Amino acid sequence: MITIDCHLHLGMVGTQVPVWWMEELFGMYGVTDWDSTDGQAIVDILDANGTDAGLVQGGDIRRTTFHPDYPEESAGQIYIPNDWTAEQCELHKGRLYGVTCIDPFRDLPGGVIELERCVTKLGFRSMKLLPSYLHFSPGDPELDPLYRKALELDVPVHFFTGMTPTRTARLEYGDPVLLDSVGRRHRDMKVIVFVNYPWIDQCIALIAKHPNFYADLCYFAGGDSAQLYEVLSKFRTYGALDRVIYGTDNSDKARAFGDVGSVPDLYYGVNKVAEERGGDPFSQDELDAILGGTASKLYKIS
Amino acid sequence: MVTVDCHLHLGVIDEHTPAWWWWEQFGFDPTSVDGTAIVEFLDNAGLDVGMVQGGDIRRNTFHPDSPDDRNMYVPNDFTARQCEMYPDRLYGVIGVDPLLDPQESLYEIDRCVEEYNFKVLKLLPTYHHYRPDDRRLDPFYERCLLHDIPVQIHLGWTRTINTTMEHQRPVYLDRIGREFPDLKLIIAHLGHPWVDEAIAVVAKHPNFYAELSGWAAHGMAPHQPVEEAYRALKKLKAYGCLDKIMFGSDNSDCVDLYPLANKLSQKLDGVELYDQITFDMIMGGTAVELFKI
Repeated sequence: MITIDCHLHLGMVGTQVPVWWMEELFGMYGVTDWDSTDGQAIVDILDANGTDAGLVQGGDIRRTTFHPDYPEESAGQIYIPNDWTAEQCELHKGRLYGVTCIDPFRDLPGGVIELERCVTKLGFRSMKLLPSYLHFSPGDPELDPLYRKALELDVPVHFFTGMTPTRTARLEYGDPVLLDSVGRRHRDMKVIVFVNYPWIDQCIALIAKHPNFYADLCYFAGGDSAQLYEVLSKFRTYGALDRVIYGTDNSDKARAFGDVGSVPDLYYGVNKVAEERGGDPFSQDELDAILGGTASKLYKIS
Repeated sequence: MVTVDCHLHLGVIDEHTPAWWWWEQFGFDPTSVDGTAIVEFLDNAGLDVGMVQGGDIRRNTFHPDSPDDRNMYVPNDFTARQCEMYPDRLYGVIGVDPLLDPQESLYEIDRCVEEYNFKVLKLLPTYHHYRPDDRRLDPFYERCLLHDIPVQIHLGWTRTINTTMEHQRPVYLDRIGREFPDLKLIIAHLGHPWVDEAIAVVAKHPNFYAELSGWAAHGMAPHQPVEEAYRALKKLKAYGCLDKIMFGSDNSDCVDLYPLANKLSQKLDGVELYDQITFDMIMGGTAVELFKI
């Protein structure tokens, strides 16, 4: 069985992402030991979690992200180029796979070309879009050429939804309901939705409704098995459990919290919760699919 | 005490609803539902009366693989015939697409009330792609006031892909409550998964009512209907509006939902969710007053 982490971030503090942004991003959670993350650091997270492969993403949120107290440090950042992501994947072949990151409203035709380049030349497996960070609605028809290209290339489009501590992000564009029109108009396009607070139930309903929508559960990597049991049970009731995929958002519980096991242990713990509550357990096949089987088909990773 | 199921659907496969839609919506073998099937359903559940609805979602509902097979239309005349076959057991709910032909739809409401004695207007914003507070709907709310009938509005999730989730939120009812304070309005499905929003507007507006139909339907929502019903009813009780809740099934076997939620309340909180009078109101009393049956 292959295990795949669908949600991992690269970024070098100082050269690609400014210190103030890291503080803004992690301060809310009381985390102070954040650091730069290159391919090796990601491989270390994969190893700690006992995971075979990871989808790694850079990012480009320069156009909209700044801090009024640090105008100079904001200039030219936050930008982790796709070519740098490709270099990290090249260094760790078979472990890391690239995710195309573009700002579609910086240069839409250029974004379409960049997606094609990343997939066909660099071997990237998906595209990540950040509507709230980049101030657009994912249902904006302007994005249709990008969606058509993703469909043509047969790569999934991964959307961030929900809240982020980044203050310049616009929360209204994090509403997962905005993806409903994407599902209606592009029925065959594969979409991965980051299921995130505060619209978790709405997000589950959205994914259940659209047969080609998948759920990235990395938000729950920082929780516990009881919370995970609840959310997996909801997907099961909706008949959408086979569209749930594992991710960590760089969480390495073994390292970050010390007293608990790895993130996959949270998944293996759900059946203990089921037993305690007298609920239905999840089969090994179902858990294997969540931890990698479904993602291996989606990203064509074997 | 008369017991009432306020939310029941009619429809004959192929004649009124294509099989593909049934699969999309429910994921199992299509089943036709006429008045006889509804009465059998009521008898099995031990219920006296059912509010039966057809519907017209032709304008917005299609499948790209079956573009010509989109006859999503259960006419009011069919509903009326089923009600005539079972007087005192079935009462009609008016189904119109208000934006297909607004003036004709208003006439249709008049006709259904005056000729057929239908008791309530059903609106489906998410199926018809409008917000319920869209001002184009105001004449429909005025018509309901004129006829002194309530309006029942689908709020919340559905599996039909061509519905618009952005039109499912209960918060969009607030202007209606402010500008039509005498209009009696029923929130279908308690707006799931926007349940807290639905509870807030029901609590705020004295003439707003709600039902939890579909909560126990297979593959629908929520995933733990008893637990979630308990939580919702506890909040509604805290707001003092349990008597504005009505039993509805959405054709699913859920007549025990409220007693089971009450049992859970006893177990977890050591208190009853409701007394016998309130339970009787939920199971029919409120509906009898609201629908004048």
